[in-house]
Amino acid sequence: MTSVAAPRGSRAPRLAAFSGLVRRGGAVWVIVLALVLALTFARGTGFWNSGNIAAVLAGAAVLGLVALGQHVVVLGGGIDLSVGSMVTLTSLLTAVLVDGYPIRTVPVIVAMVVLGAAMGLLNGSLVSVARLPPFIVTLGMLYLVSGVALTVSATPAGRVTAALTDFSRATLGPVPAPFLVLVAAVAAVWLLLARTPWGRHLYAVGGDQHAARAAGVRVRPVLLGAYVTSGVLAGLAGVLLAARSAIGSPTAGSGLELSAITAVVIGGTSLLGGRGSLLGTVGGVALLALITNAITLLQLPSTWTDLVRGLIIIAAVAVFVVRRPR
Amino acid sequence: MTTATTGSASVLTRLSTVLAPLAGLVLVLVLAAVTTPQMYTPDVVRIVLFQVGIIGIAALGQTLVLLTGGIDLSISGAMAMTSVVLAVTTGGSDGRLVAGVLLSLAAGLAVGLLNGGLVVLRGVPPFVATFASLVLVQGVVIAWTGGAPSGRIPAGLSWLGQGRVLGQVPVPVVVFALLALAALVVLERTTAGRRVYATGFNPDAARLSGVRPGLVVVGCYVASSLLGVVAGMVNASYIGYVDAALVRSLNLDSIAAAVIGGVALTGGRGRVGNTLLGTVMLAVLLTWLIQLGAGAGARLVVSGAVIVLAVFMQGRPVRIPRITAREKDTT
Repeated sequence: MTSVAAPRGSRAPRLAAFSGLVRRGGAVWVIVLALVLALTFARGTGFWNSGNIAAVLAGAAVLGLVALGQHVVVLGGGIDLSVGSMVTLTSLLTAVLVDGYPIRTVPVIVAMVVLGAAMGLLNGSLVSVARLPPFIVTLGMLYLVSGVALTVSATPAGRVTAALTDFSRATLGPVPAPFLVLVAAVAAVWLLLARTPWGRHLYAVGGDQHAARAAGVRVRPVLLGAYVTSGVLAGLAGVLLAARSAIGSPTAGSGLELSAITAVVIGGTSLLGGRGSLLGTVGGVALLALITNAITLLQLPSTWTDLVRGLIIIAAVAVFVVRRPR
Repeated sequence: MTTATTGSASVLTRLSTVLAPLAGLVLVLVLAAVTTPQMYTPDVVRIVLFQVGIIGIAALGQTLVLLTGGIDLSISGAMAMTSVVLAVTTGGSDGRLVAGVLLSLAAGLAVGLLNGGLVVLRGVPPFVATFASLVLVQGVVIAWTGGAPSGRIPAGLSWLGQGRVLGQVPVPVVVFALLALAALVVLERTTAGRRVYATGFNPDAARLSGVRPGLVVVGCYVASSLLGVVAGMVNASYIGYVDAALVRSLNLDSIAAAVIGGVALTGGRGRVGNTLLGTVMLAVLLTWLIQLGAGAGARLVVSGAVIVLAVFMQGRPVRIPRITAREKDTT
C-alpha cells in the first residue's frame, strides 16, 4: 500500500495530500472527530451519557459486521449487494426457529452462520467459477433472498430466548457485548488480511486479477473465501439483530447493503479493488452510527432518517470514490 | 457463395441471442396451458398485456442505460416519486393535472441528471451511483409525506392506466408500443442511436471518432428516469392512489426483462426487439406465478433467479453449427 502510483498530471499538492489521507482512511476519522465535537457542544450531557454511548456502540455492531464483510469483498474487486437481505433472512430465521425454546439457541446460531456461509459460497461460485459480474449476481441474490424471507413470513414473527436478549443488553463496563463481537471480528479480519497468504492474495486479485493469476495466485479460492467471509459475517449480524429486536422481521436488514458500501467507500477503499484500509472502514461505520445517533439526539423527525442517509451516501460517493482510470 | 454463408451465419448468430428467451417463453406458455388453463382467457391475457406495458416502459429506459454499459437501479425510485408528486401537487383534483405531470417530469429530469453527473463527472460505478440516488429519492418521498405516502391520483389521468383501445387492448401496452417504436427508430436509424452503441461498445474509440461519450451517457440516464416517470404515471393512474411499496420490484423486473431478452450488461449489444421479447416472457412468467397463487416472496425469488440465470446464459451463447464458429474465426 506504500507504493501508491503517483497521480497523473500536475495536481495541486494540497489535493494530493487530501486524497492520500482519504485512501489511508484518515479523512473519515477527522469527520468523526468533528461530529463528536459538534454533538458535545450541541447535546453534551445527552451525548456523553453512558446509556447513549452504549446505544451508539451497540448500533454500530450489526452495521460493522456487515461492512467488514463488504470491505473484504470490495478489496477483492467485487461487491456484495446481497448482505442486507442475508441479514434479514438470518435474523428472521433466528427468531422463527428459536421461537422461545432455550435449547435451540446454540444450534440455531451455528445454523445461521452456516447458512450465511452457504449463501456466500453461492455468490462466490457464481462470481469466480461462472465468471458473472459481481453486482448482478449479488443483486439477483438480494431479491432472491428477500423473497425467501418474505415466504418464511410476511409479517414480524418468532421470538428469541432470554439468553439472546440478555446478551444483546449485557455490558462489560461501559462496552456493550455486541460491540465486543464486532471488535473480535475486526481483529479476526485484520489477521486474515494482514497475516495470511489468503489476505495478500486477495489484495493481488483485487488489484489485477490477470496479473495475480499470471503470478501463480489461484484466483477462485481467494474470491470464494471473500464472499464466504461476507456471508458468515452477515449471518452473525443477523443473529445479533434478532437478539436486539427480540422478534424477527421480514424487512429487518433492508438498506444495510448500501450503508455497508457507504462505510467502505467513506473509509477510502477503492471500489475498483486491491486498495483499502480496515481503519477507514471502521471509521465509516463509526460515522454512520454517529449520524443515526445525532438524528435521535437532535430530535429530528424520524422520517428524515432516510433523507439524511441518502444525502450522506450521495455526498460520500461523489467525494470519496476514486476516479476510474481512463 | 461466401456472402451467402456469411449471411446465414450472421442470421444464426443473431438468432442465437433470441433463441434462449424464445424457448423460455414457449416453455412457460406450455406449462401455463397445462397447469393454469385460465391463462388463455381474455381477462388474464389483458393482465399480461398490462404487465407488458408497465414493465416494458421501464425496461426501455433500462435498455438505453445498459447499452452505454451502465445500469439504472433508481427507476423504481422515479416511479414511486411520480405517484407522490402527482398526488401532492394535484390534491386529487383534475385542475392542476398538467402542473403535476410537468413537475413529475422535472423531478425525473433531476434524478437522471444526478445519476448521469455522478457516473460521468465523478466516475462513480453506475450501480453505486443509481443505488445511492434510489435511497435519496426514497428518503425525499418519506420525509416529504411524513412516512406514510398517501393521496389520490386525479381521475383525469385514469385513462392512462385503466383505459382500453378498441375495447380490448389496455392503454399501457399501446403507450409501450409507441415508445418502443420511437426507441427503435432512434437507436437504429439516427446518428444519436449509433452514438449510443458506439459509446457502449468502446467509449475510447467513440471519443476518438468525435462522439462525446459523457453527453451520450447523461442523455441515456435522463431518458431512463423520464421513462421511469412515465411508467410511474401509468402505474399510479391504474391504482388510483399512492402506494410507494408496490413499485419496488419493478427495478429488478426492468433489468430482468432487458437481460433475459439478450441485452448485454457490458454495453453496446442489444436491440429494442430483445427487450420486447424479454418483457413479454417476464410478463407471462409473472402472471403465471400469480395464477398459480404464488405470493410476493415467490415472485421475488423467481425474478432474482431468472436474472442470474439469464446473465449466466448470456456468457454461454448457444452453439449451433460449426460453420458459425469457423466463419467467426476467418472474419
